[in-house]
This record gives sequence, structure tokens and C-alpha cells, in this order.
Amino acid sequence: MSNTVIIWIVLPALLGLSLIFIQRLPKLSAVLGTLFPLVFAGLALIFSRGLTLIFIGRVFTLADSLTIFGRTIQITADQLGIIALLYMLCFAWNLVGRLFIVSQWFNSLSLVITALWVSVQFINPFLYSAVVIELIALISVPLLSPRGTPARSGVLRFLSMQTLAMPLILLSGWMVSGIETSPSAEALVLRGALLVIAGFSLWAGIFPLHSWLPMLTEETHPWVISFLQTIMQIGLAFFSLKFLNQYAWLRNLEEIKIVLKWVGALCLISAGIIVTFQRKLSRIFGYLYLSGTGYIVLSMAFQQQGWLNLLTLYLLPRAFGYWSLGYALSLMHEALGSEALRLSELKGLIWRYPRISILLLCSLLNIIGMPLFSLFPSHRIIWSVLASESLPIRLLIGFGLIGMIIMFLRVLAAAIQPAGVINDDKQERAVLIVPVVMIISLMVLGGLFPQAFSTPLQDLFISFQNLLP
Amino acid sequence: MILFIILGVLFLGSLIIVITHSYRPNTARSWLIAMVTALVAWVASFVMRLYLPSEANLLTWFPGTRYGEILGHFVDYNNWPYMVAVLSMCVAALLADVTRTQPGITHYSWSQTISITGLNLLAILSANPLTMAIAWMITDLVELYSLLRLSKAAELSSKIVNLFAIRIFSTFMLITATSIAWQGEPFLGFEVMHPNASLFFLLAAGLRLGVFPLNLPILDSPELRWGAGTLFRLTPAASAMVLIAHLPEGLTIFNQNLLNIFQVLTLIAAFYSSLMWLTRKTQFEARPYWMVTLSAFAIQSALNGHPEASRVWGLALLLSGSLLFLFDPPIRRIRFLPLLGLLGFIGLPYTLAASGWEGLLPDTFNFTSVILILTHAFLVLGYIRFIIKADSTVTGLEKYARITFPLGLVTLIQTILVLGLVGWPGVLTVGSLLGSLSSLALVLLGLLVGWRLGFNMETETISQRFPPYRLISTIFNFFRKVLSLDWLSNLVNRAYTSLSGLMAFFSEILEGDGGILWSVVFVVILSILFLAPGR
Repeated sequence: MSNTVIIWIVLPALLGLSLIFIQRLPKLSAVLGTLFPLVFAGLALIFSRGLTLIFIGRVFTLADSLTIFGRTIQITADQLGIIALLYMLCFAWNLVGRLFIVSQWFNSLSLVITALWVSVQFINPFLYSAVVIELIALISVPLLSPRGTPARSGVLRFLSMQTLAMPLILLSGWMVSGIETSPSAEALVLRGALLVIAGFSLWAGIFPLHSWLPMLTEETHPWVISFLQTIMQIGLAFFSLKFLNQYAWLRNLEEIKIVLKWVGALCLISAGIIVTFQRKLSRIFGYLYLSGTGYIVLSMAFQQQGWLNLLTLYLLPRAFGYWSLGYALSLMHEALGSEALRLSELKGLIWRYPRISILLLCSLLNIIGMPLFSLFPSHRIIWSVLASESLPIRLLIGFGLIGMIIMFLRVLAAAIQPAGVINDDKQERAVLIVPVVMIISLMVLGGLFPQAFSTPLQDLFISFQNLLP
Repeated sequence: MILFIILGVLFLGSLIIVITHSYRPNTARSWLIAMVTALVAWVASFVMRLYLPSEANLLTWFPGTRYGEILGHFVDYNNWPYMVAVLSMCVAALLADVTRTQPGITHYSWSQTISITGLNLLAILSANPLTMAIAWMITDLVELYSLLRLSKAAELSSKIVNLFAIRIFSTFMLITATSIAWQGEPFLGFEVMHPNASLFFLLAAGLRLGVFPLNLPILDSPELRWGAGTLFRLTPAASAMVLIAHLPEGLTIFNQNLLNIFQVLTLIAAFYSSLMWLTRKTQFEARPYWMVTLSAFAIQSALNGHPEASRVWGLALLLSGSLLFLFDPPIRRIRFLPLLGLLGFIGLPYTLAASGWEGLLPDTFNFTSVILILTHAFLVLGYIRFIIKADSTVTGLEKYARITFPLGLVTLIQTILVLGLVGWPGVLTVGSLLGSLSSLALVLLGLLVGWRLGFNMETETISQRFPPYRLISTIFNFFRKVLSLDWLSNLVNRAYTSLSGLMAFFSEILEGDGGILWSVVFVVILSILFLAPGR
């Protein structure tokens, strides 16, 4: 038991699987599904200062690696911050997951998926991570397509893209050994970099390989997809940083910075433009993920200028932004009984469901990065630093942001438009005021005191020594 | 410290009203709390004059890092007069409100009046654009919420969206400006405003004020005519005016051609709005044009390299404007009171607006100067016309209302006088005699013509007595249609619909059966485009 790998990968996965057996007791399953990730996150924070803990006179020392089938998984104390973040995400989504009608496997599989994302970060050699990511995609299927519903095109497209990415990363892994023995082989380096970028682009759904994103968000319950996408986005961000940290040939490649800048800007502009024309909130949600990917990629492009610190300011508010938006959309999903959440269905929403509407509008403003809300401080720094970049990149990002604002205005217009006569006897629960006020207060607090979100993650990237300035 | 007292008192007062009213409703007590709160803040604002400049840092973002920034408040001669003006408006609105018995006037509107004042002060007293952007967002959201409480009418809801759109884009422009001004170092205050960025700051202010492009960020809803409504309409302009006042004098070095375009646009906005102001039936209908004309004056001052001169036009917008708009019911017997509001913007020597001519009339007298003098004269004429039209005799007013209503108006007049004396160093000045006397002559001429017409602006009367009226009216209507920007809105709608179809087609391709292959094709096309310039 006294091994980091067992505690944060094997044990959670086993506990997650064991929850499957008590799925007929949904309350217990939900309680345990919430409690377990919280415990793992807490333990990760406790041990993040060192793998030795003295507790009531007893000394607990954890081993930091485990070899399974000849592959080594190593988790050091420096890396426990990442684990704590991933388990906190799992905790946050399980905390209120029971309020919504989602798959009965959600509690158990979310824990297993988190454990697998943790393992992705620490497997050596890294190419086996590609296989684990494919495994995660497959395990997600019962959540994306619950029992009794046919697998729809979005799920199939998602699986196809994830599967296509795997061989590219595997190929790059084999190529890496060649590059390490002859680092001056420019052609080999370029080919290796190209494969890595292509693989990650497919995984993350970079424009124009993003088609599965809106399809999936349209077909899936907002709570489920928000969890899967958030943990995937953050998990992939860590994984790509590991790549950059580990391989100097990739990190020092001048072209990769240019490509990353353009890819990031392209994600922002494409998300901004396409979202302007969307008629369904569920699809808009997908494009917001695309935009989020753009910001993360941009942060990576400037990692040598100290932007890695910026990512620590950015990740938690972003995750919270997705959480709150996912929560608002899920509430709407339940209230309106609509899967797609068409804008035309939102007529008069502000008077029919004022609390949900306010939460939705604030969540959108937050995720766009408008002042007062938690994502603004980090977005502002990104925009300011980019202001000294080339004009085309500035324009792309500017127009992307304008597109997002127009999208918000369209949602607002739909929500405040008088509904006319609606045969809807559903009443908004008065108790909703409590979570709504709490969430909005947190958003505003994060917008006014950004340190509140960034301080817990201060040492998050300490293990990426080669990327720190 | 005084700064915190002013802000704290306002928010606390608002909170106390809400709490006490929900516990034991009593309208009179709520009004009294609001009144005491506003008075304390108002008096404290005058005391503040003794401690200028003063600053208060609220928060530091990311201290010790390269991204470190400060949120705080700062009072100097640029924003102190605005603070006093907004607080005077709050006091006056509360005093004037008690004459009304409309159902909209409740304890809520009083609580709203003082909280809106407090929120706007947050923006007016911002020490840097970052604080201002946050304060704008808070004010806009509160305004949106309050407007939504007013009415569910479809027409109003679309106007609310338009209004909020303008506000949010103005905030976006402010953020863009601060990003441009960042230049690798945190942007700490207005004093280090980079000329490249200052044009964006001007755009942010212009958008909020309704000048760039000409828009009328006003909802002419009956509910918005009184008390908190007047504050809602006028006070958001104050913080934009502060932004203009902080612009560097070196703004003109940016790009002369671009600057010329801005000047022409501002001039058109000012002239057109002053004409509209002069010819509207009621002052409430004309209110948006009052705002746009004086805002255009302020912007013109900044474009002419005298941003500090914008102060007087901003103050005129707030003080003389609220004096006229709060003069409702327009009681004939006391119409001399709003007439004194002319002191706020007539621009005669040693009045508040005397120093404003410096911003409007550049060193050389040219065609622009003529237009601006004419615009100013129209503004004064319109103001006088609305006061002359005040001829109601109200009976049955409560005894206290007979005192509080005129007292509210007097509050504004005395603020105009005090600011005209001690607003900032150098406020007592002769100004431009050419500007003030020319405008006055035009006003007198206008009054003479008006007297001949019996101050009746009815179309039939004017067309009978003034033959070229029909031609002028046709030209004017043409301009009105062009400047209403409805055509632009239709154009944008059509473009949006067409692009919508295109986007749907694009999504269909990517998400259809051959979507993956199409994605790969697009990746190849993008790669070729990306690599092509390097080859």
C-alpha cells in the first residue's frame, strides 16, 4: 500500500470499479463517489511536501514508483499537485452529479477515468499513455451513450478521432528513440514534431479536427460531457507539458512555438466565429471547449517567457467556469426537458427560471473572460502579452472574442424575449438560490481576488523543471 | 478614509433600506434613510476637496510577479467634480421623487438610487482602467437587472439587449486599450496612458456615450423618466467622461488622418443631436440628444488636445441635464430654477463652462468652430424652450413636497455654482469671448424668432410661417434616417443570415459522413496556407 502509484492510481481504479457493484444503491454510490476523490485529493496535498509523513508518532514513507509488466510508473512528491487537481475535478463533478439524471455508472466510471488520467501523466515510456487515453475514450462510452440509447454519430466520431490519434503518438514514440541517438537529424526532428502535433490535435479537437466536440456536447447530458471534457482538456495539457519538458528537441524547435501560436489563435477565432451562428446552447458549450483549448495552447507557445506560471492562474478558474456552466446547462436541461437547448426554447427564460438564467448568463460572461469574473485576470494577461504579437494573431484573437460576446448577447436576447403563452407548470425550486448565489459569489471572488484560485496551484508545475524560466 | 466613508455609507444605506423594509415596511422611513445616507455622502464629498489628490488601494493582483496590478481608487481634480455632481444628482433625485405618486416610486427605487450612485462612483473614482473596467461591468449588470425588472414588453427587451451590447463592447474596447497600453509592463494608472492606446480609450468612452458610432443608448420608457431613471440615464456617462478627461494631451500625435475622421464624426453627431434636441416635443424625448451633444463636445475637446476641458461639458450634461429632467411636474411658478441651470453650460465668462471653450475652439477659427458655436446655441435654445413650455400648475401637493421638490433643484444649482468657483484650479476664467458671445448672440436671435413663432415647434405652424421649412425638413429627415443606423442594422442582419447558411453548410460538411476526410482536407489546406509565405 505504501506506494504512490498504488494509492493514487490502482486503489482509486479498484474503488471505482467496486462502485459498479453498488450502483443499485445510488445514494451510497454518490456519497462514496464524492468522498473517495476528496480523500485522494487531500492525501495528494498532504504528501505534496514530501513522501514522508509523521502522524501521531508514526512515520509513513511512500515509495514513488512501481513497475508493472516492465513499464514503470513513477509519481514523485512534486507531481502530487497535478494529482490533487485531477481528483478535485472528480470530486466537484460527483458532488452534485446525483441531482441530474445521468448514467448510473457516472460515480464509478468518473473515478476510474480520473485514475487513468493520473496514470497517463506518469507512465514511462510515454507512448503507453496513448493506449491509456484510448482506454479512457472507450470507458467513456457508457457515460456518453447510456444503456438503452443507440450510439450516436458524435460518440462514434469521438472514438474515431481518439483512435486515429493513438497510432500517431505511438509512431512518434518510436521515432523519439531515433532522434535521441541523433538529435541533429533535422528531418527526423520535424517528422517527430509533426506526428506529436497531429496526435495532440486529434485528441484535443483542434480546429478543423474539432467536429466531434459540438456533436458530442449536443448529444450528451451537459453534466457528463462537462466532466469528461474538462478532465480531458486539463489532462492533455499536463501530458503535452510533459512532452515539452522531457524532450529538448521538441522544446527547442523554433517552428513549434510558431505553430502553437497559430494553432491557439486559430482555435480562438474559429470558436468565436462559429459560435456566433449556433442555435443550440449545447453546441455552444462544445465551442467554448475549443476556445479554452486555444488559450491553453497559446500559454504553451509562450512557455519560455514564463507563461507556465500563467497556466497556473488559468487552469482552476477555467475548470470552475466549465463546472458552473455545466451546472447551469444541466439545470436547464432538467427544467426545460430539452436535450439540445435551442435558443428559441429559451424565450422568457429569465422570468420563468430567473435563478437558472442568471447563473447561465454569469457563467457565460465568466467563461468569455469578462471583467469581474474569475477568468478575467488570467485572460487579461494573455490578451496584454499577445498585444505585442503580430497583427494577424492579435486580430484573430480579437475577432474570436467579439464572436463570443455576440454569442452571449444572442443568449441574453433569447432569454429576455417575452415567451407569450407557455403551457409549463414547472416551477423553479426556491432553494436553488443558495447554490446560484454561492457559485456567482465564487466567480466574483475569483475575479476580484485571483490569488484565491492561483495560490493553491502555485507549485503545480514544479516538476516541469525544464519549462520553468 | 473619506473615500471609503462615502462609498460605504451609500452601500450600507441601501442595504439598511432593503433589510428594514423587508422586516417592517415603512415607506417614509426608507426615504429618510436614503436621504440621510445621500446627504452624508454629499457633504463628505465636499470635505474631500481639501484632501486632493488622494488615493486608496484596494487590492493587488499577483503581487511580486510580473503580472502584478493594483485595483484602487484615486481622486483628483479630474474626477472630484464628477463625484460631487453625481452625489448632488442623487440628493436631488431623492428630494424630487417625493412629489410623485406613480406606482414605480417605492422604497426599492430609493434604495436603487443610492446604490446606483455608489456603483457609478466606483467607476468614476477608478485609479486605473482595470478598476474602471470592473466597475463598468458591475454597473452594467446592475443596470441590466434593474431594467429587466421594469418591463416584459418585447420592444423594451430588444432595446435592453442593444443597450447592454453597447455597454459590453465599450468595456471590451477599454480592455483592448489597456492590453495595447501594457507594453510588457503592468498598466498602473491613467497617467502613463500610451498615445497608441488612448485612441482606443477614446473609442471606449465614445461608444458608452453614444457618439462613436452615433447611437442613442437610452430607453425612452416612461418608468425611466424619474428619480432613479434619470440617474440611470445620466450617471453612466460620468465615468466615460472621466476617462476622456484622463486622456493625454499627446493624443493628436497618433494618426492625424484617423483623428480627422473622428473629428468629423463627432462634429456630425454633435450638430445632428443638437438639432434633434431643439426640435423634440418633450425634454424626455430629447434627453438622448442632450447626452450625445454634450458627450460629443467632450470628445471634441480631447481630440483638440484639451481633454481637461471635457470636464465642463460632462458636468453640464449631468448637472444642468438633471436639473431639467428632474423638473417634473414642470410647475410654472418655479421655472426660474431650472433656468438657472443655464449657468452650467452657457459658457459665459466666469461661469462653469467658460473654460470649456478652450477644448471646442482650437487655436484657429475655422468652419468647425462655426458649427460648434451653432451647436452650442441650439443646445441653449432647446433648454430654454423646454423651460418656457413648463406651464403646469400643480395642486394638492403634500406640504413637505412643496419644500423638497424645489430644494432638490436648488441642490443642483448650488453645486453648479460651487463647482464654478472651486471645482479645480483655474476654473474661474473668461474663456473664449468669441465663442460665448457668438453663441449668446445666436441664442438671442433664436429667442426672437421663437417669440415670433410663439415658441411653437409644431410642424404646421413652422411650415406656414417659414417657407423653406419643407426643404430643410426633407434634408433633415434624410440625415435622420442615415444616422439612425437602421440601414446598417438591416445590412448586418442580412449578412448574418447569409453567413448563417454558409456556416451551417460548413458544419454539415465537417459533421457529415465524410467529415473526418474533410477535416483532413482542411488541415492540408491550412498547412499549405501557413507554409506558403515562408517558401
